[in-house]
Amino acid sequence: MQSEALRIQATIADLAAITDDARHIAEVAASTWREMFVVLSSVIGPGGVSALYQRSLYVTRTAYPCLAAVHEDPLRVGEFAALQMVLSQQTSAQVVAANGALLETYCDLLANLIGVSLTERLLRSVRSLPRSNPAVQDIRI
Amino acid sequence: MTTRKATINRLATGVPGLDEVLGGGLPEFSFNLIGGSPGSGKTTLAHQIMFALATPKRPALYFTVLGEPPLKMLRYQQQFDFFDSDQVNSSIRFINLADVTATGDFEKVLSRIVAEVEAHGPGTVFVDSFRSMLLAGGRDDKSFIDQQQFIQRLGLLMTSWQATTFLIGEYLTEIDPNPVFTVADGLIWLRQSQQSNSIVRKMEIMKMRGQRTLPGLHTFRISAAGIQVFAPVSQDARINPPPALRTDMKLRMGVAELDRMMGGGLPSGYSLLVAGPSGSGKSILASAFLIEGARAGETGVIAAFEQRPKAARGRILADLIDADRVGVVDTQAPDLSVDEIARLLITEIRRLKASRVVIDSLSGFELALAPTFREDFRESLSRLVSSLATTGVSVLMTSELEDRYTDLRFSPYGTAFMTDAIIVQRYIEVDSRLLRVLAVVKLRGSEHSNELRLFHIDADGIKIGAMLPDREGLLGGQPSRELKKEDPVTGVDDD
Repeated sequence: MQSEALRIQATIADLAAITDDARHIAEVAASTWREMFVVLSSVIGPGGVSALYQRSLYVTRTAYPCLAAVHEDPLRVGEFAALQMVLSQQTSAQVVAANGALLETYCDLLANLIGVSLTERLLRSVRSLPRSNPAVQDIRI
Repeated sequence: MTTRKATINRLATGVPGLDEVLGGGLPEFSFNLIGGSPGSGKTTLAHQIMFALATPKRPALYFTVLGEPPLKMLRYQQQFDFFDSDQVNSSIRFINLADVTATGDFEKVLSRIVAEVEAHGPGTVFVDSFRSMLLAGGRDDKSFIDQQQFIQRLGLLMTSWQATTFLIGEYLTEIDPNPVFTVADGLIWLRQSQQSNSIVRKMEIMKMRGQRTLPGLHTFRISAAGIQVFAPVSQDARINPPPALRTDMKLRMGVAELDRMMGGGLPSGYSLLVAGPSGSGKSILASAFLIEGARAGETGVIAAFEQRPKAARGRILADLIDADRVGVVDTQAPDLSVDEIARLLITEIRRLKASRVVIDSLSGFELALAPTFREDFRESLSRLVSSLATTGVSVLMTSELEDRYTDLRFSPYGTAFMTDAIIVQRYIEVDSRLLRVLAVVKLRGSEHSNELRLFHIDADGIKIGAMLPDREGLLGGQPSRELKKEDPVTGVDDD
C-alpha cells in the first residue's frame, strides 16, 4: 500500500484499537472519504473522483460482499452515506478491513493513472483525523 | 522632471526557443491566448511554461474546465521531464471548475476564480480549456455580450492581481470573431501543417503587445523534454571564433596539392561547395577537411544526411568522432525544418567551439527536410548558409551533380552563387578508362588555379595528378587529342 493510503488507513485502525463502536468507526471512515473527495475533486474534478470510487467498489465487492450494496446504490457525487450505512452494520474489525481494501484499491487505481508520486502528493493534504474522539456526532446518515 | 515609463519585465518561459520568438520573453502580467487545433500541443506548452514560472511565493493556478479530463491531462503531462510532482500543491495548484461552469453562469465562474486568486495570490494563471467555459455560457446574442464582458472583466481582474494569464483555446479559429482576440495582449497559435504524409508543427505569435516578435511560422518539436521551438538563427548569434581563427587565415583542405590550387587553402569563414557526380570523392574530400582540422587542433561538426557518419567515413574520422573532436548532428528525425537543422548545427558548433563544418550532402539535406520546406529549397539553403555564416565557421557542403556533358553546372539547385568557393569534380573518358578531374571554379576574392587536374583516390585519400594539356573537350566528357597546327598527323598546310 502507498504511504499516504497507509497513513489514512492507520488512523482508522488506531481508532478500532480503542473502540468497538463500529458506527463511530464507519463515521470516521466516511468523513475521511469526504475529505479525500474535496482534496481530489478540486484537482481531477468531482466526476473523476466518483468514477474511480465506483470502480473501486466494483473491484473490492468480491472480497467484501457487504460493499456490493454500496456499489448498487445510486451514485451521488461526493456523498458517502451508503458506505457509512453499510460499514456501521459490520464488526469494527470488518469495517477496518473492508474500508482498508477499498482505500487501497482506490489509491492504486489513482496511482495507475497519475503516478504514485502525484497521488501521494495530493493525498498528503487529506488531514489525519483525531485518533480518538467518540464525541464526533456531526455526521448525519 | 523626468517621465518614468512603465517597465515591462519579460519572463523566461522555460521553453527553448520561445523567448527568442516572443522577442525577448513573455511580458509580465500579460493576458494571453494559446490557440490551435486538438493535438497541436497547447496543454503541453501551458504546462511547460507553468512549471518554469511557478514558485512557492508566486504560485501558478491551473483551472481546468470541461476540455481534457484532468485525470488524463495529469497522466500524460507527467511523462514530460519538466513535470515535477513535488511542485503540485505547493507552487502549482490544479483547480477543477467543472461544477461551477456547469451552471452556465459567468458571474459564478468569475467569483470562483476571484476566490481562488485571492486565496493563493498566483503569479501565473491558466484556464484550460477556455472554449469549454464560453460554450457553457450559451451561444445566443445575449451570451455573446456576456462573453465579451466576462473576458474583459477576467482580463482586468488578472491584470489587477498582477498575474500573467493564459487562456487555452481549443478549436478556436483565428477567423472566429471571438472577443478574446481583442482583449488578449498575446496570441500564440499552434498549427500542424500537413503535406503528403508529413506533419510539421508550427507556432505563430499572432500578437504580443509591447514587443517585437519574430514574424512567421516557427517550427517546433515535442519530445520527452517538452516543446522546443526552432527560432531562426539571429545575427547576434555570432560566437567568438576560436583564437586560432583569423579572417585572413587559410584552412588547409587535407589535400596538399588542392591547397596550392586554392592559393593556400580555404579562407577562414568561407563556405565551399564541392559538386560532383556520385562516387567522385566528395565525401572523402569532406572527411579530409575535418581530419586536417583536427590535426591542426581544431574541432569540427558533421551533418551527414546520407551515409552513416561513423561507419562509412574511415577509421580516422570515426576515432575523431569517438574522441569528441568531431561532433555529429543527428539528422535522423523525420520532417526536419531548416531552422531545426541550423539550431542543431549551431548548438554542436558552440559546444565544441568548432571551426569546421561539413554538410554531406545537400541532396540528402533536401530529402531530410519535410516536404513543405522542399518547395523553397533555395531559400532554405540560403538561410542555413547565412545562419552558419553568423557563427564564423568555415563550411564545406557537398552536392550531388549528375555529369552533363553539354553544359557546365555547379549545383543542381542554382545555389552556387550562395557559396564563397566551388570545387567541381567530373568523370571523363580517356583511353577506355573512367578518370576523375577536378577544378577550383570559384574562390571569392582570392587567387586560385584555373587548372583542370586529374585525380585519383587511394587508401590515403585524394591524390591530385597532372593536367591533360594535350587533350581538349574535357568538360564534354570525351576529350580528344588536341589538334595542333604543327601536328604532322593533321597534314594541314601552314601558309
